[in-house]
Amino acid sequence: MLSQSLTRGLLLAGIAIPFGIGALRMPVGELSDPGPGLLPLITSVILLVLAITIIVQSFIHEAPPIFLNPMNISIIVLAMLGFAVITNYVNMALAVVWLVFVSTIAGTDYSWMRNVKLSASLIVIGFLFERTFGLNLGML
Amino acid sequence: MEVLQNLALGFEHALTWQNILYCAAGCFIGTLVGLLPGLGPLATISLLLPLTYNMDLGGALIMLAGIYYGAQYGDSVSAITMKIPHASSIVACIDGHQLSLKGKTGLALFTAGISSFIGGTVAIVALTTLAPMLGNVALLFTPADYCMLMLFGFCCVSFITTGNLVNGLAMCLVGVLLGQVGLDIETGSQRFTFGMPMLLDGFNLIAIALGCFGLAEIAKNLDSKSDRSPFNGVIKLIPTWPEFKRIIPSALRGSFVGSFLGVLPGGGTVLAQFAAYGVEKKVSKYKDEIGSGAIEGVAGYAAADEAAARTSFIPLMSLGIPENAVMALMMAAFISKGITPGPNMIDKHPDLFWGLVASMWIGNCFLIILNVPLVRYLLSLFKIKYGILFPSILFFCCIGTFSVHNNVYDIFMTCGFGILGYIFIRAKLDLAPLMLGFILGPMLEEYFRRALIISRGDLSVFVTGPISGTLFGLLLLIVGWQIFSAVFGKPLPQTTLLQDQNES
Repeated sequence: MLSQSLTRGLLLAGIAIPFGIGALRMPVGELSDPGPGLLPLITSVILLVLAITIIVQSFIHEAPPIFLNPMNISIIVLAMLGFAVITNYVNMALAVVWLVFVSTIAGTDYSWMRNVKLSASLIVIGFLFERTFGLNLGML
Repeated sequence: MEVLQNLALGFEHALTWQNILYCAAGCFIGTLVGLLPGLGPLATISLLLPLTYNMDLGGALIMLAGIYYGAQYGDSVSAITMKIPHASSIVACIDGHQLSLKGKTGLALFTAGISSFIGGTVAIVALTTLAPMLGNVALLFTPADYCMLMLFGFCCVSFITTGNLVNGLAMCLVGVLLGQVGLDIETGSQRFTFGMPMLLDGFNLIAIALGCFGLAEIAKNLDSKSDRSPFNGVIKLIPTWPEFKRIIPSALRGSFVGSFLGVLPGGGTVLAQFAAYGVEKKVSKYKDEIGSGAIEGVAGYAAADEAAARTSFIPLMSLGIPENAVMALMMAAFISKGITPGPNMIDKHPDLFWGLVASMWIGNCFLIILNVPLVRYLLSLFKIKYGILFPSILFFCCIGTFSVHNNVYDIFMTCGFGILGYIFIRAKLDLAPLMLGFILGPMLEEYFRRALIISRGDLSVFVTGPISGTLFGLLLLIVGWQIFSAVFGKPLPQTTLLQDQNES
């Protein structure tokens, strides 16, 4: 398994390299007349140097392995993506029900009754937000 | 005299019934946020930012500020009673929790509440006098000076919040890069948009904030699967006279330390707490008791914490440079209303500035009521199960993101940043510097390009001016100290403790 620091370095390098390549495709200009690519290029180069430093450090100093539990974040993201799709094609009230019933799978205990009550409360709050703050949430 | 006139103007604005209501709401929400796990002030302000788009700016700022300093109060309560520190009250876990274990929870809570009140009051006086003065100094700043100030801020924030300059600075730079996405401000050309129209305006600030501080934090909390038992102890709030006498000197010392450190870039509340705690350990009459449940150990940090939270508004209001991620979001609230904070803001919008200052006095009174006589009722909030709390937070994240543009693509963006934020958290990369870099990135670029054009491409402009040169020197000192620490392997005590507490 990857160590925390190696993951850190690889992650940062993975961000710096595409941004750096993208910056090179834009006009960099000159120092007296900087173009839109100059700052992104400088920033990504410095970031890449820092990433390489972290990667090198990871081989010198022992670091604990990274702990990733993809299950919980996946459930949460699935709940939110479903919320977005249902809001777009049906309405937000139904999307709230989906959000509550799916996201609570990631919790320690699951209760249908609690989810029904929670969904109802959040739908009421949604309506209140529409009325009070004038937000166009599309609850119905 | 002029200050008093200005304060009178401020109270005129702050004492309207709408603004009193916003202030009370901000303080109450802030206290709740401080008490409950899984939602910090940064996430809450991100959540509420879209709602403030429909409010008048004065009211919105008063409410957001109330959330920020209210959270500092509430955070102490959870740290003292249950040893649950969020970002800001790590020191409360030492003496505050020790007092609680000795059956003196009430005394610890009273001390924290009163000391926070004193800290807040001293800091407001500092804010009232220092911000206009610093605003005048800020007029001397050139674009190169602003550039160096931002870089200095990045380094300070990176160094203090993460304890590791390399990791923190890297996150700032990631933020700066994310801030470059969209249309270039000068040439209008597209950058890193991949032809997607939704990226023309850049990444949505709220999507990043809620993804990183909402979703990612929820996933992290769910991974730990730890159900905390609620506090059921007895609370006797009123201290004896000898105990009360011990609070005042420590609170005053902490107030001055916090007020000073709050102004420094990256200083903020964490550094102020540790510095005040250190001062108490050195100068207090009861210094031998500190660490094992001393009143001074609570009074000093609580006052410093609150004072630093208030004075951190000074750089934002007078220089236009936010010193931490929460202030960066406050800046976003200003900009969304077409006002750029900076040296001219106090002169151009005195009602906003002095109204905010005056509201802090009012907020201080609300908070002392909430956190001393009503604290026992607030503690019952711990009985809310996380299984109920987190779907509710997710719901608020969804509507917070959606309501900005009424666009579901922003929710997709939030999900993307949630995943990225989760991986960052797991790789032990702090997300606060990313937020600061994202908000300051476009401003940094503007000043950077302007400085280069004015100097005709001469890079020495960034180190030869009196202000930029001084900042560059300080920057070198920080980098040098970090290299020295890395080579000789002497870790900083405060950051070690901070990390240990976060781990626990």
